Amino acid sequence: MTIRYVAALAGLVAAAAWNLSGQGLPISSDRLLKAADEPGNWLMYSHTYNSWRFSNLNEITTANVKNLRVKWLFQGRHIEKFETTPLVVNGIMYLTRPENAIYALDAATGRQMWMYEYRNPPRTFNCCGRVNRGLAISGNTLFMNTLDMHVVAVDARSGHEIWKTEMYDYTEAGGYAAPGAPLVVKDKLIVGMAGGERGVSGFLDAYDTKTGKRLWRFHTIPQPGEPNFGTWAGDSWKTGGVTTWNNGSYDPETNTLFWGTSNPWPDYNDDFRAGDNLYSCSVLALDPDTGKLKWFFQFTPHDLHDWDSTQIPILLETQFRGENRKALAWANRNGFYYLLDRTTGKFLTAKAFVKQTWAKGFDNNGRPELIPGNEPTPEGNDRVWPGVDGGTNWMSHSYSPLTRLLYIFAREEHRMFSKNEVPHPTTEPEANAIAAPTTIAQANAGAYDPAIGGAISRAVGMPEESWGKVIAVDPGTGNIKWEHRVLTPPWGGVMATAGNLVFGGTLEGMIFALNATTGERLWTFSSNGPVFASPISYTANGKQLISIPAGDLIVTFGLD
Amino acid sequence: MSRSGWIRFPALGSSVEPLALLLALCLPAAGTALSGRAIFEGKGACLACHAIGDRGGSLGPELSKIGVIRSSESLRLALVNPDAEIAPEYFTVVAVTKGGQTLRGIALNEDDLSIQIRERDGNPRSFLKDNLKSLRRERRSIMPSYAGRLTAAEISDLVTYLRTLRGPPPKIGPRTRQPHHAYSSIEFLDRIGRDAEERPDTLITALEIPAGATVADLGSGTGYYTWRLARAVGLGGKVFAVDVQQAMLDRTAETVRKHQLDNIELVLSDETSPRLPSGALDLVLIAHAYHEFSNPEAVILAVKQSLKSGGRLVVVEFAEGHPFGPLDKADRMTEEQIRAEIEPAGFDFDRVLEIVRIEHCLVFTKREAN
Repeated sequence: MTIRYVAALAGLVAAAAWNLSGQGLPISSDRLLKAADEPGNWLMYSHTYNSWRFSNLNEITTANVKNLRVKWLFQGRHIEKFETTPLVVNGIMYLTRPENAIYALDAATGRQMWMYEYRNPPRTFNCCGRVNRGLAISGNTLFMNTLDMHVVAVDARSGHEIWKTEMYDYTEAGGYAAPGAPLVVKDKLIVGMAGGERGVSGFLDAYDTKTGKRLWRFHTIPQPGEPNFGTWAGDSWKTGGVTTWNNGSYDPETNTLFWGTSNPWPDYNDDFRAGDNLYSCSVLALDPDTGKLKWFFQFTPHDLHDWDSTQIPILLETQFRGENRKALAWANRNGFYYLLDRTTGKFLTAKAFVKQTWAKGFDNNGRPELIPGNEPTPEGNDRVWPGVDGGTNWMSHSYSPLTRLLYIFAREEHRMFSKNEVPHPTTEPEANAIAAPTTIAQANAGAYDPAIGGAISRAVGMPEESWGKVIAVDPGTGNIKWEHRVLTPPWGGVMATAGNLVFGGTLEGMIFALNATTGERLWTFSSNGPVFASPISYTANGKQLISIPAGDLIVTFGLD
Repeated sequence: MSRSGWIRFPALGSSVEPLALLLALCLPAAGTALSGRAIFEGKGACLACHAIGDRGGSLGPELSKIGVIRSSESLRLALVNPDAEIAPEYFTVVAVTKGGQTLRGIALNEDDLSIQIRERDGNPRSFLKDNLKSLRRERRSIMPSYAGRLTAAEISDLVTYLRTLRGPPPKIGPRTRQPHHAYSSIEFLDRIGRDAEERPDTLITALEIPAGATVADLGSGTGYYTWRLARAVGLGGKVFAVDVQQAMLDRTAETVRKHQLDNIELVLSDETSPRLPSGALDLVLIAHAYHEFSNPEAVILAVKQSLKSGGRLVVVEFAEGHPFGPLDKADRMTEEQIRAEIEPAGFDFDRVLEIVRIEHCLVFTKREAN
């Protein structure tokens, strides 16, 4: 154990004496900036603006985690699975239940206090289930994005709707949707959108938290006259996708918002979109006040594999080649872990964290040097790693300041990539004729969608060719310190805690706690519901609790 | 026997001519199917592991519909080389307990902590992985090869019997759906991604249409299947492209021109007759058109007339109840509905082609008058 580690632990004992029951409403901007100082609350999707998804709570430790038991269940009673990250304020949990309902629960018992239901039209267009991933909070107001491209503001005390704003016509271009959680930065609500499996045109929006008025829109595909407009052949920029469907991070020191973007469309067929296709598969560094682009970094230029860069950006300080760097750590769907300088966007290093076959290295600017033979083909190419769902996907990673390790629930997966003919991109409404998968089984199967220029669902090879692993990565080098292997590639994220634990759950519903230093599995619970979300920790009545969605349940654990 | 869950058209490879198949199934086949059944229940001891309805074991796949989802060639292969087309859920699992006991079976379920196995005796058992010394999967079937256990003639009888297993016959009664009138959405027929969705080339390949055949594409629409059929039958063959709408025929003609094919004859039909020559066709394909026939009974009777002896009728419709496909229920049919309308018109249900999950592709053969 290093001296630094001991010092940090001592600091945390003091931290544990902070307000463990959590302060109540309203939530000021200042409290959001200092969310780490409220370990009893969970105030935003990734807990803190640096997106560490790290809980300072340390009542549950490596020594006593074996005594963890279920405290309560919340029954979603919905055909869809939970993909949400709940918020917790002063012993009240706010969570979204599919499709777009908000529940307020007593976080000690799971008993319902109020419920708000937003009704979507019968047909909406999210690619991968009629799901929602969570809320944002500011003042006394909760915010939620909807599948029909609205943003709603709801009073956290009553569940009454305060305002509702339409972001965009959800039926345009084959279908837009907004399944992600929004992020509050100062007086603005930052909202992303989905739809990159259709010929949509992506953007990131900011709305006034008080009124719902749109304050800026950043087009993720440069518009005519803007820099980088020429990175799309012909008219392909009009329908190039590039959505913003997950959550972002915020660095108050430089007043920078970080947000990842999705793949270019059509996913597996690039016949009409020659060029780098900016700003697809990139991280955007934006001024949250104006929506102006400060810099960007494209992880996968001209992507052909649906390797979205919509992972959660993690902001940390780390040693890189002997120097302290304000860094952006990014384990990407393309199978590489990246370290960037977050003040400039400069590429520092990249290292594969799963098997990959497509890049032999990177130039000084972080541009990959491609290995031929990885392109989707009409007959199907099964020689590509990682698979279509990536080395990681949208599930949250976690960073522990105690171990100084980044925890990634990674996917080793062997799949088939095939390319099919896609007529030149149009916005024919008939592209809507094919519905999105609506069940967990389909989501698991990666049920294919014909509008994306390829059928990607066919798994190939032995079951043993695909698996999942929680890995602990040294952020400065990308070196893997330990690995904990699980049966199947996961869809849930992880959370590290000050109890030196890493929590997560598998597709089979095994919820686990690992020793954050060694990766040893210390505790499991068989929920038998697929975990499609990331855990949180908070307090109720002064006791540390852990909640994680599994299937259509929210399962909550604590010590007696 | 492995289960047919995958598309594996090399094995669809029935080299049996439709006529020979028909003969095998009907006339002299009565004897061989009967002896095949005796082998199934006796010498082969197939019921120890396979069930048909409520009889038999549970280790292997249930077989009461195996005759419509597997070709004779594929069934024969499964008997002599059970590993050849095995699906992962039937891989052999070998578990060795800490006590040194070795168990073989198939996996019913698994997570990181435990595995649920159906043992060779058919009983399900669950093991905590902590209590196992080793656990592995082998890419082979628990089923033994019958190559050395049965004679070639016995295997043929068994295959013949298995091909007669085709599930309960459809309930024949009054039509349960309201037929549409022809509806022309060229946009839908030309929609983005139709190839990936329907895999038309796979379908045509699986049908194994011999070069030189005479076939018809009934409801040819934009010619989406027409040109593929024309390519399959080759220069010595012929395709009648039939539609009730001249506008659609014009589109078919355009497609045919684009592919530079000249073995196609366009036929403007009406709602009651496809206007095809009598007794001349080897195969009639009706893809996503049958549900639009306003008078399906008359058309199917006329189709029967147009087929040669042993000729095939192939009906493709979007599957009712599948989450993909058109939203309008009238554009989809169940397998049962298709069978219930086609079989009474004088067709035998031959088999199902599992090309894509969103569609039913049913193959019928013309029933000869006894």
